Amino acid sequence: MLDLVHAHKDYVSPGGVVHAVADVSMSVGGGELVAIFGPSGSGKTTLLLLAAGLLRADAGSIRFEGSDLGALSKREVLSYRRTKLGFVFQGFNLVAGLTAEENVAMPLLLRRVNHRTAHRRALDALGDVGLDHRCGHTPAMLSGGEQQRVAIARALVGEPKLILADEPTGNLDTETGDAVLDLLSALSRQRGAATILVTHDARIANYADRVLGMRDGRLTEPELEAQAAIGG
Amino acid sequence: MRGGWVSAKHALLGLLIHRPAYRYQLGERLEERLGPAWGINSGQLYQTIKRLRADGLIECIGGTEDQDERHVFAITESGVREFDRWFAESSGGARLLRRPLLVKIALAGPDRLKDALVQIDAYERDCAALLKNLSHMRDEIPETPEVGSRVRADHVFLRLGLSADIRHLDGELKWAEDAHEMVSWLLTEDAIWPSEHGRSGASKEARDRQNARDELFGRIAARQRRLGSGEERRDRDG
Amino acid sequence: MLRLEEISKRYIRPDGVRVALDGVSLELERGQIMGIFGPSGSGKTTLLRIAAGLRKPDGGIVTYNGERLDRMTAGERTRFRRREIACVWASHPQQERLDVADHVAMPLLVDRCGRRSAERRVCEALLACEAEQCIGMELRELSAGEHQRVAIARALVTEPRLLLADGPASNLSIVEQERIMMLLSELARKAGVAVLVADSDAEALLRADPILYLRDGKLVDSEPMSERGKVYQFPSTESRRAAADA
Repeated sequence: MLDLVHAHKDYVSPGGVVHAVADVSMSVGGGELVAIFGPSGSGKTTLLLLAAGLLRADAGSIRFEGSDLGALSKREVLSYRRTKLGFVFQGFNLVAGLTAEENVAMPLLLRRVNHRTAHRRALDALGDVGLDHRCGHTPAMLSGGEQQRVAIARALVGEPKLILADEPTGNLDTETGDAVLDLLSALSRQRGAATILVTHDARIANYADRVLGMRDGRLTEPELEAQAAIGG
Repeated sequence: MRGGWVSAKHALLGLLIHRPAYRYQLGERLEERLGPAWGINSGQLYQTIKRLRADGLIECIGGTEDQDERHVFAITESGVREFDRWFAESSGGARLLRRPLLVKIALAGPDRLKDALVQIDAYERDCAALLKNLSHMRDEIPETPEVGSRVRADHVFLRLGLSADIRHLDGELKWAEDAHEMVSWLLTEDAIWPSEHGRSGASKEARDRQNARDELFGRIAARQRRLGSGEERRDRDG
Repeated sequence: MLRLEEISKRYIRPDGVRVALDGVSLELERGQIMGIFGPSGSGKTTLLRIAAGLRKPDGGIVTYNGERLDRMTAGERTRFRRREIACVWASHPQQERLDVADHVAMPLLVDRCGRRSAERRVCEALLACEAEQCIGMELRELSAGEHQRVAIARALVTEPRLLLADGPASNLSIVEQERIMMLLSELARKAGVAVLVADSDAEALLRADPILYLRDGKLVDSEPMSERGKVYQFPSTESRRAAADA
C-alpha cells in the first residue's frame, strides 16, 4: 500500500543541515500495522508527514499504491490526504464545541457528503469504537480514552486506506492506552487498512505486526531503542 | 558606505564656529571629529560651501578669487544664528532606514531569488569588511579612562561615532545572515507567494471587500429586523 | 438584547476560594459595542463564557431577549449558541493544520448548511474581514492579525445577533488592532449586532462605547466614552495616530 524508497528529508537550521529522515526504505501493506519506535527527535514524525504528503521528500520516493506522491499535483495530494488517509494524533484534536457525532461527521461534511449520510456513517463509526451511546457528548464530557476513541472513529469514518497515528497513547494512562492500541489494531486489520503508528511507548510491540526502530533519521533495530528507552 | 543623505551643512558651520579654516582643512576635520560616516568628497564639499556662501552663512576672508585652495572661510553672524537655531531644534525621533536591497528581495519574485541571494552575500561581505576596519579604528583609541587620567573630548566624540556605526553594522550583518537563511526557505517548492494584482488592480480589491462587507452586514441587519420580538420564537425552534 | 444580572462565580482552588465574579450586572443593546477592560485574570473570560451559556454562574441570571438561559433545555441552549451568538476567543485553535476555508466553514456545516452554499458564504465572510488571501492556507501559516480576522470571519459566517470577543486584538500591532476594532464597530453600527469585547489592553478598546472596568470581580466606574479621557487617561485616538505616523 505505502512504500518509502530511500526517502530523504533535510531541514535547514541555523546550526546547519539536519537529516530528519535519512535513506529510509520501508513498506506497509493492507491490514498490517507497522510501529515505528524511537526517541523524540528521531525523525518519526517527519516520516509520518512524508507519508501524509505534507512534506515532499528531498530524495527517494514515497509511493502510495504505486504512485509517487512527489509526482502528484498539489490538488491531487490534497485529495489523497482527504480521501485515502486517516489521522490519529496524540492530542486528540477534537473540536471543543461539537458533539462526538459532529466531530466524527466533520471530515465527511468537509468532503461534501450530504448531512444525513455523514451523520449515519458517523454513528456507525462511533459504534465501532463502542461510543455510539455518547454521540451527543462534547469532548469536555468525555474521558481522555473516550476522546481518543472518538478521534479514531473520526479517522476511520472516511474509510481510509492508510492510517497514520502519532503517539496515540501519549496522553493516556497505561490501561486506557492498551485499550486504544487494541482497538486501533483490530479495526484497521478488519478494514484492510495499512497503519503506521509512531510512538515511544514500548507496549506497541504487543499489537503491531512489525516494529521498526528509528534514530537520527535512520531505521534501526527496535530492541536497541527499547533498551535505550528503559536504560535512559 | 558613506552617509550622504544628511547634509554636512550644519557640521561645517559647527567646525567654523570655533575657528576659520582652509577648504581642505574642513574636509579633514569633518572626518577627524565625526568619524568615517562623515567623510565627504571634494565635489560635495565644494557644493556645500558654495551653498553656505550663497546663503550668507559663511564668507571668504582670505586668499585670491582665482586661487581656490587658498580660500579661508569663516562663519558670519548669520551663520552663528543659523547654527544656534539648528542646535536648539529637535533632531527628530528614531528613523527607519530604507534599504534598496530589501526592495530587491521583496519584489524579486521566484525567478530572481537566486540573484537576490548573491547580492545578499555580497552585502554581508561588505558589512563584515567595514566592521573589521571600524573595530580597528575603535581599538586605536584608549578605553575608558582610569582613575586619575584625563578624558579627551575628541576621543569621546570619535568613539561615539564609531560605536554607532559598529552597532549598526553588526545589526546589518545579522540582518544579512537572516536574509540569507529566510530567502533560502523561499527557494523550496512549498512557499506561498502573494498573488500580485492581476488586471483588476488594487481598487477593485478594496471595492470587492466593501461589497462583501455590505452584503453580509446587510443580511445580518435584515435578520435582526425580522427577528424583532415577534418572530423570534418561530425562528428559534425552526 | 443581553442582560446579566448579579452574576457571580467562584473557583475552589487548593489554596482557597477565588472569587472570579462578584455580582456583575450589565445590559447590552443591539448595535452597541461594549468594552470590558480588566487586567489578565480579572474574570473577563469567565464573564464571556457565562454570557455565552458555556458556563453556569453560581448566582445571577443571564437573559437573552427576555429568555433566561437557565430556563432553557440543553438542546435549546446549544441551538441558541449556534444560531444567535458567535464567539471569538483569544486562545489558539486545536487543529492548526486545518485549512482556513474548512475552519471557517465548520459552524455552517454543523448547522446543516450544504457545502456549496457554505463555500460561498465562507468566501464572502473572509472577504468582508479582509482575509480572502488566506484561502488555501493552513491556520498555522497565518500571521496573528490574519488569524484573528479569520476567527472573526468564522464568527460572522452564521450571521449572529450577538458577538462575544475575548481579547480579539490583544498583542497585535496598532495597524492590526485598528483593523479589527473597526471591523467590530462597523459590525455593531451597520449590522446591528450586539458586541461585547473584553481586553486587558486599554488601547484595543478605544472604539467601544461604553467601556466597563472589571476589577476584583466587580464592574466599577462604568461611564460613557465622553468622560473617558478624564477618568482613565487613555491616550486619545488622535494622539495615538500622531505618535504612530511620526
